[in-house]
Amino acid sequence: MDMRRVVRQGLIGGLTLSLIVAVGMFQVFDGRKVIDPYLSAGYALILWVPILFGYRATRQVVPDGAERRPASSTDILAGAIAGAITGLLLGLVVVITALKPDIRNSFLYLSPVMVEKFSYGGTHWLGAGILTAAGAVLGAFGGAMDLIPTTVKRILATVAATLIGFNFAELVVGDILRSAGQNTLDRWIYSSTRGINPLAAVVLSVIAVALRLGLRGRSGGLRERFGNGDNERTDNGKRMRYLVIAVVALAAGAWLPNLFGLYLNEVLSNVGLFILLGLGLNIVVGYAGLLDLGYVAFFAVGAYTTAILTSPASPALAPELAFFASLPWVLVMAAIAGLIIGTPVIRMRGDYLAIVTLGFGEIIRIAFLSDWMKPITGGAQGILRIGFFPGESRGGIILQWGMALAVIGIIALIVGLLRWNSSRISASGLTDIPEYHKPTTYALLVVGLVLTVGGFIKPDFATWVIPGIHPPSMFRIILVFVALAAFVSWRLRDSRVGRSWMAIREDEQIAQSMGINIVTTKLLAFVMGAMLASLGGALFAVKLGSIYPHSFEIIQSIIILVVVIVGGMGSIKGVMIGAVVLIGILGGPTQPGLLREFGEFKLLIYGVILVWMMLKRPEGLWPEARRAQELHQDEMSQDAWLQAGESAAEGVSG
Amino acid sequence: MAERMLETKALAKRFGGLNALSGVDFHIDRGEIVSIIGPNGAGKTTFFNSISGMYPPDTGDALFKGQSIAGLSPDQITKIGIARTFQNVRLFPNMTVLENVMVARHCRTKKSVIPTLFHTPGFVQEEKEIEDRAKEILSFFGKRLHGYRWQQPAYVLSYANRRRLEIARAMATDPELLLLDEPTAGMNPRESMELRELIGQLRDDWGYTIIMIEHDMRVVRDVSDRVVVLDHGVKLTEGTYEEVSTNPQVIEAYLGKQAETS
Amino acid sequence: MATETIRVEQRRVRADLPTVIVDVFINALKIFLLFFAVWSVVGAIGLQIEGRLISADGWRDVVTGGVVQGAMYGLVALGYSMVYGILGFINFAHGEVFMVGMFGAMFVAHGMADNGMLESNFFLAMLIIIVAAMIVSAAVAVATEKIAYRQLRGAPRLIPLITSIGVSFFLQYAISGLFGPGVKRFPELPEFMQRRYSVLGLLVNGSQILVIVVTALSVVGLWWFVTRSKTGRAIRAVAEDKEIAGLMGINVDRTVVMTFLVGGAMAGVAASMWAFLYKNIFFLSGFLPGIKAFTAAVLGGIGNLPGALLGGMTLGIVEAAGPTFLTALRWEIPQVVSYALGVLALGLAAFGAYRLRNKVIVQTSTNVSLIVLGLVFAALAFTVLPGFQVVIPGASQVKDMIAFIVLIGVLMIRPIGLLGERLAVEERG
Repeated sequence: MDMRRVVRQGLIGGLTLSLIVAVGMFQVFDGRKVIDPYLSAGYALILWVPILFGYRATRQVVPDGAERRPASSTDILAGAIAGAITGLLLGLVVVITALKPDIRNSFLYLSPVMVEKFSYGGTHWLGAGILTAAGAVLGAFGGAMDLIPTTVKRILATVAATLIGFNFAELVVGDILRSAGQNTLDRWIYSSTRGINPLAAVVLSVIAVALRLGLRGRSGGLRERFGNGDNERTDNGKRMRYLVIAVVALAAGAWLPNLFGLYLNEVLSNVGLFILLGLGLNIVVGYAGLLDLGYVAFFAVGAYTTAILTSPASPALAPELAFFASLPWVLVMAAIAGLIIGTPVIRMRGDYLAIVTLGFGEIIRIAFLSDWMKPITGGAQGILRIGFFPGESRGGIILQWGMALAVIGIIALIVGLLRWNSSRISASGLTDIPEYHKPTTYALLVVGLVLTVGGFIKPDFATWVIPGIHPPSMFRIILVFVALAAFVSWRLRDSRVGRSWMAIREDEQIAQSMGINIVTTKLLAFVMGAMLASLGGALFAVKLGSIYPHSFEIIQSIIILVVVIVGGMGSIKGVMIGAVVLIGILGGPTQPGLLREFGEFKLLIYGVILVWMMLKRPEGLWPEARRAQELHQDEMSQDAWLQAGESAAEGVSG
Repeated sequence: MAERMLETKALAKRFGGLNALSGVDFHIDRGEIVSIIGPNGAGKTTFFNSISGMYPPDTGDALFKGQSIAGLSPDQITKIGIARTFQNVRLFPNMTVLENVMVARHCRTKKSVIPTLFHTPGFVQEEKEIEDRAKEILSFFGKRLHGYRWQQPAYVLSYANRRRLEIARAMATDPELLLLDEPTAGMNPRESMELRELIGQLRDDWGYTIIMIEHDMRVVRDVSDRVVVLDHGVKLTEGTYEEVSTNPQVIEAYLGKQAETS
Repeated sequence: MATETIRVEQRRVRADLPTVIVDVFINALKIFLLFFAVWSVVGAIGLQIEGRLISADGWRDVVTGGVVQGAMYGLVALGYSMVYGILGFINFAHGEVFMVGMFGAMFVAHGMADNGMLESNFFLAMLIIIVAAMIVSAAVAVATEKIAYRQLRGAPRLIPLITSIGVSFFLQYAISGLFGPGVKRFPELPEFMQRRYSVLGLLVNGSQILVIVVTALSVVGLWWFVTRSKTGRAIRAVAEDKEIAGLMGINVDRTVVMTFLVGGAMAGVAASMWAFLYKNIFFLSGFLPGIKAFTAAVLGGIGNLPGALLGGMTLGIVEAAGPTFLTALRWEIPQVVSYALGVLALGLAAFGAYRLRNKVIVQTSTNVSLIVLGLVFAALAFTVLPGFQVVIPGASQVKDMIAFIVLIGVLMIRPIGLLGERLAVEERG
C-alpha cells in the first residue's frame, strides 16, 4: 500500500467533494429526488467521489511490461483510508461552517442550512463522523473494485445507469407516456416530486439487468455476423445504408415534437441549433484544424443580418423581407465576414490564429454594442420584432410550399440535365465518363420540370406560418437546416476539398509542398464555417424575435467548441451526439437543458469537461473511425524504435 | 544536348550567422539522375528547401526550364513540376494510404465546392480519375502498398513503406523533376537494393529527372549519372562517381584532414 | 506500364490569382491601419495646437494612467511570455490566475481593514496583501500545471491551448460559485494614498506611485532571479532546449513548475495592484486584462522578458491615449495634404505598373497591391478625403477594441514583436 498515494487521493477527493458542496451544487441537486424519498440527486452527485478516489488510491502505476500486482485485501483498507479522508474533509468544512457562521460572508453556500443537512438530526460533530464513516465505507467499496466479480460490477453499473437515466430523463419519459395516454404508468413510475417510486425503481432495475445480461449472451454472435457483412459490403451498399439511416433519422426527428411538450421541444430546437453551429465549426476546427475562437462572430453576423432585413423595427434600413428572402443576404454577409476575418489570420501560427479570431469576435460584439454602430445595430437595446408577419404582432417564418418545391425542382432539373449531358457524351464512346441509370435521369428531369413550373405558377398553393415562439414547428425547420449542414459536411469531407483540409490539419507545411494552396483552402474552410454559423444565427434571431449584443459573447464560441470536441473533431455524428448530450442535458449558455438544476453550474461543468476531454480523450467520444488515433501519436510505438534505426543507419552509411 | 531542367546560379541562404548555402551553381538536364552527397550539415537539405520553396534563397536564382522560380511558394513550385520527399518522412499520418496519394493530385485537379455538393458528372469523373491514378502509382511499388493497405492509415506503415508512400505521393503531383531526400535511409540492404532499381525505373519508365541526396554510397554508385559534393554550403566538386570518390578534397571533407606526417 | 510517361501540358509559372487577391487585401488592411494610426496622431497634434483636444493636464493623466496600467499588463505578460517561451503554448488561464490573486488580495485586505491594520500600519499591511496574492496566484498556477498541463507535454500545439481554455472556465465559474457572481469591493485606502503628489512635475496619485514602485521592485527581483539564481539559469536553459537541459542534469519538471510559480507570483503582484487601483472585483475580472497582457507579450516579442514589460507599457499608453486619438479623427485632412497624398499614391501605382512589366512573379502581389491600392487611395484623396472626418461617438466604449486591434496589427505587420521572439528550440516553427 502506497500511503502517500492514498493520502493524496483522499485529499484530492475531499477537495472535490468540498468544492461541490461549497459552490452549492449539492444543495441545489438535493431538491431533486432520484428515488423518492430515499436518494436525492445531490447524494448521487457526491457518492461517487469517495468511490472513485478510493479506487484511484489503490490503482498501481505500473511501467510498461511490468507485472501488475494482483488485487488484495489491503486494497480495501487503502480505499477505506482514502475514502475516510475524503469524507473527513467535507466533515471539517461542515464543522468549520458551524463554528464560524460568518464564513458565509465570503462563501455563499456554506450556510447553516448546509450544516443542518449534514448533521443528520444531531450536532455537526455527529455529521462529520457520519461523513467520515460513510466515506470510509464507500472508499472501501472503491478500493475493492478489482476484487468484485465483473458480473456484479456490471449489474451495479446497470442499476445505477437505469435509475439515473430514468430520473434525468424524467421529462422525456413523462412526456412520451402522457402523449401515449399512459398517465397511470407515469404516476406509477414517478412520485409527485418526479422522483422514481421505490417499487418502480426495483422493477426497472430488474428489467434493465435482465436485458443487459440477456443481451450480452447473444451480442457476440450478432457482432460477428454484422462484422462479416461489413467487409463484403460495397461502397454502394454503404451509401444505401447511410441513406436509409438518414431518411429514418429525419422522419423520426420530424415526428419527435409530437411526443413532447413545449419545454422539451424548446430543448430540442436548441439542440438542433447547436448541431448546426457545431457542424459549421467542425468544418473549421475538425476538418481544417483552424482553432477559431471567434466563431460567434459569424453567428452574430447571421443573426444581425436577418434582424436588420426582416424587422420593421430595425433602426437603419428596414426592408422587412420575409425570412427566406433574407437568407441569401445572410449567406453573402457571412461569406464576406469569413473572408475579412479569415484573410489576416491565414498566415499566422495556429495558436495565434485562435487568439486573433477571439479578438475579432470581441471586436464585433463591442462594435455592435457601441454608440458608434447604434444607428445600425440598435446598441445595447438590440433589434426587436424580428421577422414580424405584416400586420401582426408576432414573428416567425412563412414557408410557401410552391416556392420551396420550385427550388427543389430547379436543383433536380440541373442535376438531371448534367447527368443527361454526361450520358450523351459517354454514349459517343469518346471518353470514360460514367453512364448514369437512364430512368432516374429522365425521372429527375420530368419531376424537376413539373415542380419548377408548378411551383412558379402557384407559389402559395400551401403556406405554412411558423411562429418563432412555437418550438415544435421551429424544431422542424431547424431540422431541415441541420440535414442540409450534415449533407454539406459529408459531401465536402469525402472530396478533393475535404482531403486538402485534412492535409492542412495534419501538416500545413507538407500540404503546401504537395501543391495545396493553403491560402484559398483555409479561406474556403472559414467561409463554409461562417455560412453554416450564419444560418444558425438567422434561425436564432427569428426564433427569439429579438437580439442583443450580449447573446454573442465568447462563451458561445467556447460552448460550440466543447460540443465539437466532446463529440469528436471532424466527426459529423460526433457533433450531433455531442450536442444532444451536452445541450440536451446541461443546456446552452443561456438556454436550459433537461436538468434545469445545472443552470448556474453549467459553465463550471463545461470547463471541467473540456479539460477532462483534452487529458483523457482528445479525439472525442464518437470520433471518426480513422481519426481515433490522431491525437495519441505517442502511441505509435514503432516510431521511437524506427527513429533509432534511422539514426543508426545514418551513422553507418554516412 | 538535352533540355536543361534545372539550373541554380549562386544560390545562397543564411540562417542567423550560419552560411547554410553560399553560392551554389548547379544544373541538371532532362533524364539525368544526379546525386548530392556531403557530410552532415553540408547544406544538402537546405539546397532542396531553397529549390522547393520551403525556405526561399536569400540571393541567387533557380531556373526551372529557363523560368525563374526563386521565391515562389512551395505550392506554385509543385504546380509547375517539381516534387520532393523529406529526410524525416513527413506523411499525413492519419489519412489513409490512398488518401495520402490522392491529396497530392490536388494541384492537377480543380473541382471545388459547388460540383462537390451536387456530385456533378464532372466531379464524379474527376474523383474516379484521381483514385485510379493514385492506385496506378501505388501499384508501382508492387504488393507493398496494394490492396488492403489502401485503406490503412499511414501511421501503421512500416518505416520503409512510409518512405515508399512518400515517393508515391511525390509522383502523384505529376512532376518532371523529382527531389528525393535520402530515399533509402533506415532501410535494410534488401529494401535498399529494391529501391535502387525503382529509382532507375522512375527515370526510364516514368520519365522523371531526379536529384537525390543519399548517404549510401552503393546506391549513389549504382544509380547516378553524376555526383555533386557539397561541404559547408559550398560545392566542392562534381563528376562521375569514380571521379568524385577518388577526389582527395572529398575524402578530406568526409574523413577530416589527415594528420601531417613528419 | 513500361511506356507510361507523364503527359505534361505546357506549365508556366503564373502568379496565383486568389493568393494575389488575398495579399492585396492584407496590404490594404495594413495600409488602412497605418493610415488611421498616422491620421489620429497627426490629427491629435493638429487639434492640440488649435487647443481643441484636451488640456495639458489631460495629457499628463493619460501618460501616468497609461504607464501605471502598462506596468500591470507587463507583470501579467511576464507569465504568458515565460510559459510560452518554455512550453510553447498560450496559457489562456493565466488571466484567471491573475483574477484569483485579486480575490486573495481582497479577502486579506478585508481582514486587515477589519482589524485596523490597513489604517495604522499601511505599508506592512500592503506587503502582506501582496505576498498573499502572490502565494494564491502562484499556488493556482502550479496546481493547473500539475493537474492539467504536465500530462500534455509534446501533444499537438492546440491541445494544451484548449485545455487552458477549459481551466480558465473552470476557475471563473468555481470562483463565481464559491463567492457569488456579484461584484466585490476592495476596502477603502487610507487618505494619504488617495492624495495627489507632485513627482517630476507630474501630479500623481499615491496609489499610482505605489504601483510603479512595487512593479519596479518586482521586476528587479525577477531579473535577479532569472539571471543570477541557479533556478533562474535552469529556467533559461530549459527555455533554450528541454532535451539538452534534461541531459545536463536539470530537473525539467521542477523547472517548469518554477516557471509557473514565478509567472503566477508576478500575476499575483499585478492582481493586488489592480484590485488596489480599481477596487471592483468579480469572477470575470481576469478575462480582459489577461487577453490584453497576452497582447502585450506578443507586442514585445513572446518569450522575451524585457519585451513583455516594454509591450505592457506600450499597450498601456496606447490604450490610455486611444480614446483621445480616436476623437482626434475628427480633425479634417487639409486639402493640400490630401492632394499631396493622392499624387504620391499615383506615383506608387505607376511604380507598381512599371515593375509589373518585369514579370518577376514573386513581386506580383506587391506590384498589384501598389497599383490597386495606389489608384483607390488616389481616387479617395482627390474626392472625399479633403475635409473628411470621422466622428466616433462614445470613443471610450470602444477602448477595449484597441488592444485587439493592436494585437492584429502587430501579428500582421511584425509577428515577432518589438524586441523579437525567444522560443525553445522545439517550438520554433
